[in-house]
Amino acid sequence: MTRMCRLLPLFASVLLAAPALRAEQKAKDPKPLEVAATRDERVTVLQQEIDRLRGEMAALREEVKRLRADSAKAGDSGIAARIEAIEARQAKLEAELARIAEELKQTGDALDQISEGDRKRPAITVYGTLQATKYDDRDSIFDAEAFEIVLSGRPHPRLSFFAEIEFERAASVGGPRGGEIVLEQAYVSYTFAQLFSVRTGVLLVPFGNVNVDHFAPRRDVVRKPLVSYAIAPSDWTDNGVQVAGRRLFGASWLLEYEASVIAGLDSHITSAGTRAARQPFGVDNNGNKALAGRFAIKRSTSFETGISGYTGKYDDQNRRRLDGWAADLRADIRSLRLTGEFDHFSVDRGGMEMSHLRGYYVRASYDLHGGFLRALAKDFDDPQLTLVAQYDWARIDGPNEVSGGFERNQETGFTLGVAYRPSRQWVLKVNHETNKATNRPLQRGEIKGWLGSVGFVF
Amino acid sequence: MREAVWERMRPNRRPSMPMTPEKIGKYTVIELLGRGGMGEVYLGEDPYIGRRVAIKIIKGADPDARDRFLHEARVIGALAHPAIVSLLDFDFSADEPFLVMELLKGEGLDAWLKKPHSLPEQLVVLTDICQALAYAHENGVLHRDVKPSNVQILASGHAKLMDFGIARATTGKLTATGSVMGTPEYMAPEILKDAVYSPRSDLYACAVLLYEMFTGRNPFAANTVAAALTNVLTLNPPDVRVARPDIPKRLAETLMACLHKEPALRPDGFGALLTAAREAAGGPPGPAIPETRAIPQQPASKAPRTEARASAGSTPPPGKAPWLWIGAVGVVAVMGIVWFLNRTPVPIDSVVASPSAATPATVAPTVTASPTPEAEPEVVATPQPTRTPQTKGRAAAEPADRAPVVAAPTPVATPPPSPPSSSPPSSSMTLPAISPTPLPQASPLVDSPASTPTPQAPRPPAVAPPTLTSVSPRSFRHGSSTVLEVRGSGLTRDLTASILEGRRPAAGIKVVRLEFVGPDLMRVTILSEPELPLGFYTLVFHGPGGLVTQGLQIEVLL
Repeated sequence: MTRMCRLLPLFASVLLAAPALRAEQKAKDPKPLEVAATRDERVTVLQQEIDRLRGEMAALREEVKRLRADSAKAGDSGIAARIEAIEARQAKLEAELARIAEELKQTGDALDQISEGDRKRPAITVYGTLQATKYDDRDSIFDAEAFEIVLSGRPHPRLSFFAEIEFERAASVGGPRGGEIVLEQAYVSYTFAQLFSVRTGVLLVPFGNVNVDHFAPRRDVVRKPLVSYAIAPSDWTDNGVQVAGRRLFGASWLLEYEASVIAGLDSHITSAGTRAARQPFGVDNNGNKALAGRFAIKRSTSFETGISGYTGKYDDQNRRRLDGWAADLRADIRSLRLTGEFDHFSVDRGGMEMSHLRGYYVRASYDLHGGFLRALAKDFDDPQLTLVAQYDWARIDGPNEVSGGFERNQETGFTLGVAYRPSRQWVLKVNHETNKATNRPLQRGEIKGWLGSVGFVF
Repeated sequence: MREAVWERMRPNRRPSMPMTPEKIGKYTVIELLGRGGMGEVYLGEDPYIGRRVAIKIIKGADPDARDRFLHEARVIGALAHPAIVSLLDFDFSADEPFLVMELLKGEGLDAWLKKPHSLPEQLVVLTDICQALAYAHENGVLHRDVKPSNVQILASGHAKLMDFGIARATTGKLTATGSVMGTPEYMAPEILKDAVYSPRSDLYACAVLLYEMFTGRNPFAANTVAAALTNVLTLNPPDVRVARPDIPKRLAETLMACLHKEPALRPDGFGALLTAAREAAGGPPGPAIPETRAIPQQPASKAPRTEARASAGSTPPPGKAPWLWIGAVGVVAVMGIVWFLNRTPVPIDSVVASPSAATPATVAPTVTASPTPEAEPEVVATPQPTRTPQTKGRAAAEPADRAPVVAAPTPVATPPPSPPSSSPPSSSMTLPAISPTPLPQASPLVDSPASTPTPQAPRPPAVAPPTLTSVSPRSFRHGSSTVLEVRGSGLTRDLTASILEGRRPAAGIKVVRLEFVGPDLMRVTILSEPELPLGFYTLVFHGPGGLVTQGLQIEVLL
């Protein structure tokens, strides 16, 4: 019994110190995110620990008191001293816990403020492409095709903005070296609900998947499909108002819609396409506003199909209609990715025959991963090599804008190439194009050659 | 540490939580093996020679933790012995200092003990541990935490001592006083009474370990720390030959002498144990004990790092140059083979780097390296490792050369397996990262098998937060619905998930569906809006009682 009494303080100190130290150590070694996410809970847990410790201390005092009474050595000053030491330790621990709780609170408050401030700050992303082309019988060209700055932000849960500024061909605006700076997108959005938000500003016209997803480094080929030059004039942006919404069905099916009221295309629609009909920003050649919209079904990131429509009057007199529709598809089947789009526009040419603009592209891309690619790019996680083949077709039937005579202008293109992506941030593409034109060329003409590009997104 | 917290929580556009780095120093990081309170251990590869290693880094700027890390590195770095885990590299200049340790194939002694082994096999382990400790003592290092989980059994059957996290380098006199550290069942009585460490306290712990190895149970194990301490102080374990009559008498006597409560009455050093083991190796039938390895007699700083495989006294005499040449060629050939084998991914089943921070249950592979830097309180009772129980069938079917590899710390404790009746659970005195579960009521002071059971509240297992190891894909496009596969361990149906932007719930991106596939896989469907600011966000899981997992970084791209 005597021996046990001598050992009692030791047991007591171990029993007391262990859980206390756990709490102390927890506080000393906070897991940053855990603290961040559950600061209050952790403080509560620490508080519970100290409460439990107090209870245990009280019980222990009782036990010691009883043992003192029972033991012949109840007056042992050593035991009393040990108990005092334990009580002192408890007091120290309580003070420490209070300090930690306060520190947690202050740290949390400060970080909350930083998070709040940071949320109001726009995020910046840049992307761009540099191209090199060598067509047969033409000089080779280096072309800093585009450098774009993307700003996005959400200063309030319901308010957001998205802007995209393009510096094309190393733009030196107003100087002799050409190029342009374009505000491709710049809109603010107010979200009422997932199913309904309103955007206003400079908007991408929701027409076809090339225009909606126009970020060049994401494409597997160097140039945009022919259909997006000659038929739907991408990059097609316009001033206006847009409503948009989305709804998720099941685990991964997403329905999306976008509907815009925009200034629309003007009367510069030619037998070579609609590209020249994009109006300057802030200008409308008639009082009529065009409607454009797209409805899409997506399944996670592996499947997307959409239909788009456009209608509006295009001439200065506000009499002639331009109507169009498009269907697009993107589907991933294991490593194979199929992408395509078909566009059609009908143009009322007044007293002349209607013009019909049609075009499509189909692209098959096959992704290769691992193996030799990893050996090639050891510093990257998941390098990818994409083998790609694309077929382009576009035809415009209608009266020539000068002669008035009926014309059928057609152009086709076949592209074979590779796209090497050591990471999602960088892509190297090499393509060989063979283009054929019937009658007047729509965009490329009768030409073949090599194209290369380097794209980046940061 | 506060700066580190600050840095990690810096919101948005920067990683909110550390992701697996691509490189640490010159080493290519293959995967995270485990994460502890203040450090992480990675499986890495030396890009120049293709050797796989365990890399332990310390997170944060807590000077105490850095000091302990440096201390550990210095201790291990000063020891070069084939039965002690080797330090291969160390960089203290980086923001996150790291040490690189050899990757050990095999299993922890605690797991090894659960399987039957012959006396010769056990004698090999005994010899290795004793030689390692003797060598450490000769070089002025007390281990102070000798226990099964700090010993790794290699596929060859040899043992390696590791986890020098609380080891103490002493100057001159090999006795140290100070804070009480260690694991209750293996603490010598004089540590509990007077907090005095000496080579004899390491000898005592080693003897407890050997007793456990021979008999299958720790002689002082109890259900509570208090009971275990009582046993250590008062209980005289029965002669080891009661349970193992096949152990030679001299070895048994020496072992029991090493367990004497009075340190002065224990043998001086490990010589007696080693001698008894050598004698025993010739006694019992069965395969002869392999040659023991010589204990280097020179100071650690000058000790060769190569293994002295010859038995004591069997050093080749001078003038036998041809044999030396043959030996050298053999060593080179073996190194070549090892190098070649290490170039290919090791079929790792489990990894151990440091027992003080066990690898999460489902985070195989595992490798053993060294302890996780933890705060060093005045009193610490290191918990018994809560290691994933191995699949028996597989373990039995596994050929020796495919034995699990052990490597690293145990960031989050997994619930310990049900203890076998012969081996009562060791009491744990540390908490998992977050333990919202109320702690148990005060335990009775004494609770040993020999004593009258005192009514007590059952000690509920601490709730360990799930561990997340990876998310795929890690990046996805804005304006998309994306199904992310989150892998980890301890995942449960009652978890919820959220996405943080910095410290705040993110707007414009949310978790719309959570599918529990299994305890190691969860599918999370995320919906992001087209106007969502591009950049980094953090996916976290929440459980009952405020339990929160660590975060996984996800990136929203164009």
